[in-house]
Amino acid sequence: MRHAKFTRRALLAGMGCASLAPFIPMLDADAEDGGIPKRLILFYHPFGTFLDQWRPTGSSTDFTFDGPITAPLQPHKSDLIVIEGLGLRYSSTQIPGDPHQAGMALLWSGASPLDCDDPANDGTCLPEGGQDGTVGWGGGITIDQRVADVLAPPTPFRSLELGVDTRGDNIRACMSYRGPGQPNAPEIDPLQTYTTLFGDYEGDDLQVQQLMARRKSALDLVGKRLDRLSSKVSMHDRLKIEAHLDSVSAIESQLQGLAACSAPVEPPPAYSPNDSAFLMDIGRAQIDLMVAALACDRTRIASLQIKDEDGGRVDWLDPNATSFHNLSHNQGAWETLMPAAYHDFTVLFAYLLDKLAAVQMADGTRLLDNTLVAWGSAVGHGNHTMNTVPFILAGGAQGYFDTGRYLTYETGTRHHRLLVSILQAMGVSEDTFGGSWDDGAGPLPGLA
Amino acid sequence: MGWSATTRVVLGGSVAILFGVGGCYTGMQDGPGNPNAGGDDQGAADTDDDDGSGPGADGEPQGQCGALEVGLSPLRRLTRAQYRNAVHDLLGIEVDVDVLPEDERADAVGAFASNVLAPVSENIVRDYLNAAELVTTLALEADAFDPATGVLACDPAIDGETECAASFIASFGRRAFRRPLTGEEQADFEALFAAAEGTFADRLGLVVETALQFPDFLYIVELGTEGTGEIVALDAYELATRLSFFLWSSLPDDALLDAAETGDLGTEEGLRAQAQRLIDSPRARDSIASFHAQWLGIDRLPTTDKSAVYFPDYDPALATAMLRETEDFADYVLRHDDGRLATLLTASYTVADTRLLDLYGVDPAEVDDEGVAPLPASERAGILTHASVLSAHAHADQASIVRRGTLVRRNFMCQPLPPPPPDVNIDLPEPTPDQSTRERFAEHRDNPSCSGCHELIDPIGYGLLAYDAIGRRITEDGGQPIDESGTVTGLGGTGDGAFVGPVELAGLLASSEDVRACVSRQWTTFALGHPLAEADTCTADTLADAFEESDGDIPALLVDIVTSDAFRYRRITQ
Repeated sequence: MRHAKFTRRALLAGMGCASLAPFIPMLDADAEDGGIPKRLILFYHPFGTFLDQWRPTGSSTDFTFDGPITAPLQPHKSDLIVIEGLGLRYSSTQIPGDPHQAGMALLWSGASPLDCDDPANDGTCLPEGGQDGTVGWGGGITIDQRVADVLAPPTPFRSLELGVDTRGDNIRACMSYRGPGQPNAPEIDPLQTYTTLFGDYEGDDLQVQQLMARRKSALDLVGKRLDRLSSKVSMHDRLKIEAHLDSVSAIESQLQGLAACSAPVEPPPAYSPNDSAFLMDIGRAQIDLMVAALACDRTRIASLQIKDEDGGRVDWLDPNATSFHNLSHNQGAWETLMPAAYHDFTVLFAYLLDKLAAVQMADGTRLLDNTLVAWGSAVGHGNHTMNTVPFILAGGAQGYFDTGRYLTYETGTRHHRLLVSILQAMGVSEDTFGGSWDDGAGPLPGLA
Repeated sequence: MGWSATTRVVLGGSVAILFGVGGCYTGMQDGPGNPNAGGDDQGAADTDDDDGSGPGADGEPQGQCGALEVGLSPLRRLTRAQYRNAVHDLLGIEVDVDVLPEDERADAVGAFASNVLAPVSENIVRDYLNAAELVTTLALEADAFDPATGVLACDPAIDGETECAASFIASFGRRAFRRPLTGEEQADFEALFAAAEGTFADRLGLVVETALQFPDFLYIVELGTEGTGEIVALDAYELATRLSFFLWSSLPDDALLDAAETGDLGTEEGLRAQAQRLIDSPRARDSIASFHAQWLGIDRLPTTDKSAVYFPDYDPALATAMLRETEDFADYVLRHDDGRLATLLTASYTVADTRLLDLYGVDPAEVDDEGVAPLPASERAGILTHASVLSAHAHADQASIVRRGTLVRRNFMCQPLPPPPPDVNIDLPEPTPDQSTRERFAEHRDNPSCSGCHELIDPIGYGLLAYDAIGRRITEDGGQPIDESGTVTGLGGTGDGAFVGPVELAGLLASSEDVRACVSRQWTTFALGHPLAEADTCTADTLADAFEESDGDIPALLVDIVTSDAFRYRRITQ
């Protein structure tokens, strides 16, 4: 009589549970020995910021978010590194694309966009806005995808690209690339995100919690016995007993970490994904799902793209306002609505940090401590300046970066250096990034 | 509890091995790493009975060779087969061994699987967690905790759930850990049961899945008796455990645990009686099969492929039947026939299914009531001519004089061989229709960097030239009549000489003291589950001598192993 290799499905069936929980955190050989794996999140919103309402006041280590745009970050100050002065290297004559097009491509890849007839381009060709010329897709792999390539995490999803009110497959609306001309279009419908990540989940967390509790009670006794035995066996055998005890302890603490993985029980409400009246609700729904996916180790690499470089509408602020893009160019009620929009993007960012901080890992750290969140924009301001693009890091990647700092750099410092720093923080050894468009080397000084 | 004095035979000029400058043998000598002990080629064994029986005056344990000497005996983890058998004995559940961590490579403990070397990794511990949960799931599916059908000796509806669980914990714990639970352990498991959720069976399942992750189940834990130094005597339960894992490849049964509890295992008579009981039981088949499958290198045959072009009839079912033939035959010789090594090597009968009999050209009508069939007298005799051995030691598309000769040299004579020199071409010459095997492998004789070793290998392999890669008798080799003549060299005393064909080859091996000593050595290694060290030489030699005295009586050897110093004592530090 032969039995199929054990599955948790079989276990749950054997425990008399009617419904299945196929994403129950796996205790299998893919789990890593030693250490919690790092996570990476890229976060974006369009049109830069109003620096004078964005920048904190105070010194590099003792500062306050008293500008209205970043005020929601005040409770998270100690988890952040605010970086001012970086610029995206842009030249309307040297590379294809207008600032919105090129900025979006440059932001996480550092690479020049492709010409329409580039062999790596699939034929997609758009006119530049306000300039004579055309542009293809982005021209390089982005850091999230490079991290996924190098670390090759054994998760069900290699990476997760989520969006909020983005429109269409075009260079202004995609920020993640697997390689030149290979965009990852974001998923903008929370219901679809849910179905993809957790759609096969039919039970509730109770079963998972029961299984975890069962395992923990077993391992508690096993650990107690191993501990007792290690003092009784000979020196020669003690190594083996202690190695066994170490493994039991590691598995037990992983259980504790996994117990914090709480998958959403209910699917999110059905939204019309591009109805900007619900932008904040959709944003929070996407963030909830992203954090659940990271906590449950469904993926370790994610990005959240709030809107795109076209901008859509701002109905959640004022359904009668002109388009977001027009607002960004100082039309309509821009003086109030632009800071209000920037403020609300900050609210979503703070919501993400809250959620990441609420997940307790195996070793007692927060999911946020094991994550590097990088927040950037594709231009510095609605006027298309590229020399002062706002960047904020959060989480510190398990202490790779000291957080709680406000760093200012000479205006126009290449953001390529930040991309290299992020890669190195994630364990990817790169000294340059962005191909020939990166004219420097090494990480951003003073960051790590 | 007197242990009879065992006469020590000091061996002069034992046969062993020396690797010469050329990379292979130039002669032979003793060596601690050499599993070939005994075999006195001088015929000058002098006896030395310096050993009084029992403890010496100073209370230090005295061994069978004077001062007690046994090699290091590291903590062992159950092999896949032992885990599977143990779970079967405990719950009547069959576990697929594929869910268990792989056994360590066998090289370190001769031909035999034994997990003595490395500490566990996290993945291994995770595998055990998953396996324990699987066992519970299967047990629940099989209603193993149902008083009507299962392993319970009580009924929770009548006796009360708490009381019934307590009694199950005590009896299950004693079997699984091979000793009575301590009061604290009993209380811990009862508390685990009490705090668990679900039905009575679910909660007992948690007890089982926890116990199966205990070191006391997963390892052969040997703390020994108190108050001793580097070498400690096993306590009675530990001895019972070694005994059953050696002879049954599984846990002790209640009778054996009872013998430990009453002190019966503390006397040589009691220990011998239990060993004999285990050997006489049909359950000894598992260990007998396991030993022979590993010793003969045929355990992986069911997953070994052969060329579908040359051997369209070969399939996993046939390969499994081959393995089973050898296991059944060994079991038959040891437990139903005279148990002698010579019989194992030269028997003119086998125990095989019809597909194999067809391969051997035996009429199924000749099979007797016990399943015993006669073999063609001039063609086959004993295990060396089993299809399993001939197939496992062959290539996918052709037979192999080298692999077959090496098997005999290494595993029957205990003479390890070095790998080929690094710079030689070891690609097989293509089979050619007009060249005999001897001609194709002429370089083995003509090239001096080959011949040093191959002179020891190939002439033995020639005796098995008349069998193809799946063990079928063939009549032509490269268009020529088959020349089955060869020579055995390098054995001390009897056994060396020229022969024609496998039956004469088997006869030479069966006559050899060195082969008997080697097989004794193999069984000793199998029994101890750790590599024999220099300090085990005395035990190994003593056992080999007794085996020689008994004219190769294998069951007697097994009982002798159980009562040897190396089996009853353990060295805990190097």
